[in-house]
Amino acid sequence: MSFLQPLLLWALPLAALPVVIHLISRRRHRVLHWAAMMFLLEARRAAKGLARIRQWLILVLRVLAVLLLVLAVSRPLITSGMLRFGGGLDAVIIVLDRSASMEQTGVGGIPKREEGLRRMQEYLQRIGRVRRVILIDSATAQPLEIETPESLLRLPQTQAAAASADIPQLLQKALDLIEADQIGSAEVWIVSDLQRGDWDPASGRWSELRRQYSAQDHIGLRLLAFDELPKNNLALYVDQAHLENAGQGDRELRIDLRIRRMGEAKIRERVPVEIVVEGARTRYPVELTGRETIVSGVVLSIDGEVEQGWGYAEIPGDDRPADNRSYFCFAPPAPRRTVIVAENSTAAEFWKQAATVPNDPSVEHAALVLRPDQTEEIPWEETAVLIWQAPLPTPDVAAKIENHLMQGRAVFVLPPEGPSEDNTFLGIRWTRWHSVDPRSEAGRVTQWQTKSGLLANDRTGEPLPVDALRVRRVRRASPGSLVAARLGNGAPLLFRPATSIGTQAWFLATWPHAEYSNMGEERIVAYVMLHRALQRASAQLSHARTVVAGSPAAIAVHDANRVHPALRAASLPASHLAGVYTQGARMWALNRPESEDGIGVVPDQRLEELFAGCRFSVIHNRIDDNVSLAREVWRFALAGMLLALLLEAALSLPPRRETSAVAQPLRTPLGSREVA
Amino acid sequence: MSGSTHRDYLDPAVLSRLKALPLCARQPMLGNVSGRHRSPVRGSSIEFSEYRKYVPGDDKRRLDWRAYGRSDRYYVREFEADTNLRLCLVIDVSGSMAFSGNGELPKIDYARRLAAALAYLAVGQGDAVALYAAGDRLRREIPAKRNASHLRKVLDEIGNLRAEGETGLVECLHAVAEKVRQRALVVVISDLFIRADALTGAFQHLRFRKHDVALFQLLDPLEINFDCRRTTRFVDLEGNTTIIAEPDVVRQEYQRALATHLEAIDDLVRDSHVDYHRVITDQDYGQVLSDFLLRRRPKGVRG
Repeated sequence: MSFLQPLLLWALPLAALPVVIHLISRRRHRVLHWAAMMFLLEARRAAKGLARIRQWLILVLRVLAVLLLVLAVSRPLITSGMLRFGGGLDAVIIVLDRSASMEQTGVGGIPKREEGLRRMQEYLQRIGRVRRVILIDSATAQPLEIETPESLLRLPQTQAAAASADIPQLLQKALDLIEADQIGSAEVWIVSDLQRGDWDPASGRWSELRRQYSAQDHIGLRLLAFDELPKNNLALYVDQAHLENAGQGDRELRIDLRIRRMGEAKIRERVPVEIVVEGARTRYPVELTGRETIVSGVVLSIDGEVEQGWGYAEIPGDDRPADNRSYFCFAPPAPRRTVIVAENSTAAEFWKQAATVPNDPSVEHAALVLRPDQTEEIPWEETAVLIWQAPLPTPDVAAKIENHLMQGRAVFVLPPEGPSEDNTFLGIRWTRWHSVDPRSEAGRVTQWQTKSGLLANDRTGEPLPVDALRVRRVRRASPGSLVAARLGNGAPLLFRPATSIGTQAWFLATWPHAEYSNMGEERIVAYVMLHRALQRASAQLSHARTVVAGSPAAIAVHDANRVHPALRAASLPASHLAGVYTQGARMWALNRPESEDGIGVVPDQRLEELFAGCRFSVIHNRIDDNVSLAREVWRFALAGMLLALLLEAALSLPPRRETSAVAQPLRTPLGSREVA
Repeated sequence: MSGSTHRDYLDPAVLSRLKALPLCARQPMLGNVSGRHRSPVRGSSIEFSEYRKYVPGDDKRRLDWRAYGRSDRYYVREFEADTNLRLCLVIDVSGSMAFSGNGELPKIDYARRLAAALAYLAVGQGDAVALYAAGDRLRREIPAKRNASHLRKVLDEIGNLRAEGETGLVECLHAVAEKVRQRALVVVISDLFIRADALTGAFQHLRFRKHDVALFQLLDPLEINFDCRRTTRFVDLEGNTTIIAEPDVVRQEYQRALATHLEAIDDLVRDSHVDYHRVITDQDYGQVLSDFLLRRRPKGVRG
């Protein structure tokens, strides 16, 4: 609570006036020589209980009335969830979540981000006396001094962005700023929709943040939470778009789409997907079934002379406009280069053959085999897929592989021959080799992902012959992974780590040798698997690249020109904005990360745990609520004062003596009494 | 201060108005001389009492020959004896009787007026008057006599009464019961700020002595209404007790306690056959006495 007229608070001691008057009146009593003392003593004994409480209550109500009057004239401002008395603040730091999910709109069409900013602006205008207002937005993650609250909504740093947010990092930035600038009393306002992906509540950084914030008594953490989820939402993804020759000099653009549904949608729904390529609009109706519908190979005819281009697919608007459109670009495919680092030459040979057999003759396929001690020679910039059949990489090499993965390329990790090691890569560690009977259930693949991933069904919907694989030896790994194929005994055969950068890091738990599996004979599975990874990864090497907004790969667009869409307001930085960018012959399509379309929010209980010990409060908001963060509450103070005075008057009323059953017989003398 | 020369507690107008009303006892009295009150012994007044069988030794002059003629048996006619009465005035002179609230007459002055008028009336009709001042003990006592000089002495003493000290009314009433051996009309004037159960024994004692007991309980209007406004320091008139109280806070409980006490007094006087009069000191004492005398007149007697 703060006050518009804080000087008037000096009048607060006036609240003691009723007590002083009470004490004076007790001292200035009249003296009466009294005869009927026996009744008075008895009455005083009896009146000690309720009557005394009543007297105290009257006194308290009088004090309260004066107190509320002083409060009312001081014009108090109350902030939701905040009960801090005192003067001005040294700083208000706004941590703004600009992630794509913050673009969810309400009935009025105003996104959460804008509504949060509007409320912050109104709050800053109300509270007045703040020495500094600092914005830390999730896209730039840089502190920015705000001159006037009115400018908050116009800044490029507060406009819509398509990237995800890293809330722990932003809070750390805020804390660093407070310490560096030696800011006294500060409020850190987090404007966010509590998306689990942005908050990363499982991160170890929270314990350190909690420790630091709880040690700072002068910092108040306020969360302005817009955790309302969309009631019915569809999210569209373009997984792939590439040109193919259709013969007779014609070309086709093949597009793979995905539509994910969340909320209470109808069981079957027909959605018109509009695909715009170089300005030409095509409508393609999609029948939705289940939570996710995959549409592979939407074919569009393209002018035979077109080598390179861009476009987007979109679905009709809903509560989250940010996930209704997905950009893509296409160009002649880049050479599909594979680097094989293997300790076993037989294995290396198998993978080399698989990698160099072209599935598209128009694209160059190449493979380079290296020993584990030759990792310095890996041409990282040209490599689409890295096959690693060796002890798990050392931290230096692991960092390079992670960078390789972050650029959208792929890695296959196969187990080494040697004994178990303590090394981990992306959180996964190989344990021991196990032998299984290939003729038994345990030696067969009984479960695999047929809808997406490397083992997905082909375009005709036919499954890959994964069930034809027979495994003799399999190496177990530590748990915590996402399994794509599993043997009959439950052992994972193909899996990937459950980390954001590990989406294209595939762990294969056996070898293609005859003593390990029949993968060498049933080559089709290994071949398809590898070439699917190659196709996706080499797309990142192409002149036309699809990258995730805000990812390291997106930084390249900073020097590029934005082609589409035209921005209504200046927004920074470009690497966090969805759209199409070009620079010379190179082209980028930036899209939001998939994690932004999730419906998981951090629950209140978890929030309490994250901020345990800190001066923290949550203000839950709905986009359509027209609630102000700071309100003048002098009316309530006046109403309270009136109520207190009314109660005081009611309690002060003397008992109705005229009708009192006790007093009545005393009024009239008994008179003479005739005795028999 | 009232003295022997300034008897402002005697109002001639009130006395002349009351003179027409006799002071009667509710039961037969035993007096020394002939008077206007009934006596328990048979006498020779004109008031017929009963017939009794003749026994040898009776005065033959009292034989009723008409009854002998009707019944052929000897009967003796008997008549009631008339005698005078002893009026014993017991006045409470404890400190509480000094109270006067909001300009009313102090209770002791009111008591003075009642007692003086009764004494005057009694002597005027040939009855004897005794006076007992009941403080923490019997502070003053004047035995019953019926002459005019005695009345002067009693009136002087009434004028000199001072209300002070603690109350000892119960002990004083016991003492009066012991001292007055013959039947008498005992008039007690007090505010009765004593526990009612303590008074029971004293009144029973007086009744045992066959006294006709009349009780005037004097109360000030302020003692009933408790109409104080400001915070007040109440100082006990009979001791050192001091209470600072908010009248509004304790009023209801005070009046409840007083009502309970008065109900107990009502029960007490009913059980003890006491002629009880609750008097509020803003009432006209002449009217109070007039009511008292009228109610005591035997039925059928006029003038």
